[in-house]
Amino acid sequence: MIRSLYTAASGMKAQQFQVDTIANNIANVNTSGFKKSRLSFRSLLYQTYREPGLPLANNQNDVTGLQIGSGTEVSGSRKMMLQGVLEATGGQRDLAVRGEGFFEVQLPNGETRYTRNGTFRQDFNGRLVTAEGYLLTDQVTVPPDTLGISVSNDGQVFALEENNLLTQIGTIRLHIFANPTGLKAMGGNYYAPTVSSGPPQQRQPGVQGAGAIEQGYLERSNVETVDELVALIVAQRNYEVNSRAIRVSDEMLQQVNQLVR
Amino acid sequence: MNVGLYRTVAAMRTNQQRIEVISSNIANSETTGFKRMLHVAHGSANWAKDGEHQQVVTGTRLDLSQGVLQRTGEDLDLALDGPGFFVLEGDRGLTLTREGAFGLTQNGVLVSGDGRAVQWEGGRGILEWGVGGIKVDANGDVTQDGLPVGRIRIVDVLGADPVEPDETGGYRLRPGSALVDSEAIVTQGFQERANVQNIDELVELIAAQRAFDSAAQAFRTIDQSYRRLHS
Repeated sequence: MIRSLYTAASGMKAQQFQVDTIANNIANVNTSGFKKSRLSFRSLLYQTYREPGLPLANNQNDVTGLQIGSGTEVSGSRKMMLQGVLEATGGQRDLAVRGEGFFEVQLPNGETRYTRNGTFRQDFNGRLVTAEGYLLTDQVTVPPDTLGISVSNDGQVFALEENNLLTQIGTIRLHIFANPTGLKAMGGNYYAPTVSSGPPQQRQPGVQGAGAIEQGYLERSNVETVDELVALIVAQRNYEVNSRAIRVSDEMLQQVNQLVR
Repeated sequence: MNVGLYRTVAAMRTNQQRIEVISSNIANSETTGFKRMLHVAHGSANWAKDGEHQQVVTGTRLDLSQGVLQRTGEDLDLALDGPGFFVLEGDRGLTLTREGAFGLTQNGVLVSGDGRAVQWEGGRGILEWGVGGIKVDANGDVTQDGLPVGRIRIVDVLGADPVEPDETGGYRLRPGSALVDSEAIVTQGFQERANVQNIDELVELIAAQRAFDSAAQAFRTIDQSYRRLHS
């Protein structure tokens, strides 16, 4: 059987994954704090038909050998943790991270997740929560009758009271990872640590490698639509070329069938 | 017995191999650091005396030419400009690779995408993770926040057809070849694309298909002449 049928099919499958990934990136172009994914591929096993240097007929030595690859596979996807553009929103509860680091939030079941989406709200108790209602682990409770809150670059949160006094009501810390590209995307723009990412390291914003917190800004997604569209075109063309290889293999088999009529 | 019949079969087999090699190249056109295979075929020197055996000697050879460098902006994406390889330590010996998409373990060890440690010149350099500030210069010298960490080992290979693909997507040294220092330039924040040009592969693909067709046609012609002889 012709191996190239399967080889080219593996190429088509890989390109399909590529298009899936690009489509997800494009779909999230307006998601705050979204990080684009990138796939990487690796070549599959090579079949060694003949080792180089083997003697052939007529006292010749084979100088090249014969090794044929069997295609490609997706070796993994990486989250590209490049900084997204900070967009001014003016919202007092909109926080963006300039530099490394994630906010830590608590799920209702007690698990922790990490996010760069700093669109916070207040719940009925005045506590800062994400848009989904998950609590910020560094609890910040805004007292009633507060005129406004102010968050400094190093994460200290102050409440402005009616008598124009500033009272510190909490400190927001960031969490950094050895290898943030190894974080597991959990949907909803949340990440969970893995063996590859390493455990979270709590840092005060602005020191020891952690980024600074910017109040009144949101981090836009780091997806560049133009780059993604170019990648989409390339993936489509590669898909076509692979399918062409399948067609050629098929036509060869047809020829073989017609050898003896 | 007419040797032509066997020769046409040999020609078909050769072109089938060619298409298998081309398909593998095409399938890997997006594989970082991939090097295409060339299919080579040449006639046997004593073909006239050896008339009834396969006339074509085929083989494959790696085309180690440079791939295009593409910017990624990641600190630990390193690409080589010029001939050379990074060296990875594995359970089954050293692996040579041009896929420089590296990561850091919690212990600060520089590793490949599948977790194998990258070799350094002299002692293994340990980076501090979670801090950033990693700079790699053209020679492979690594600094973090301005402090020297060490130099990543880059090797070149000497010999005719010196490396072959191994099981991990990298390359291993062939017997009789040697490792030497490399002159390749290390570029940080880039990855090397496969050196596969789809146009070239497509042209090769069509050429191989037509050659296969011609051989099949020759087979049929010879076969039909036998039939006339027997009838």
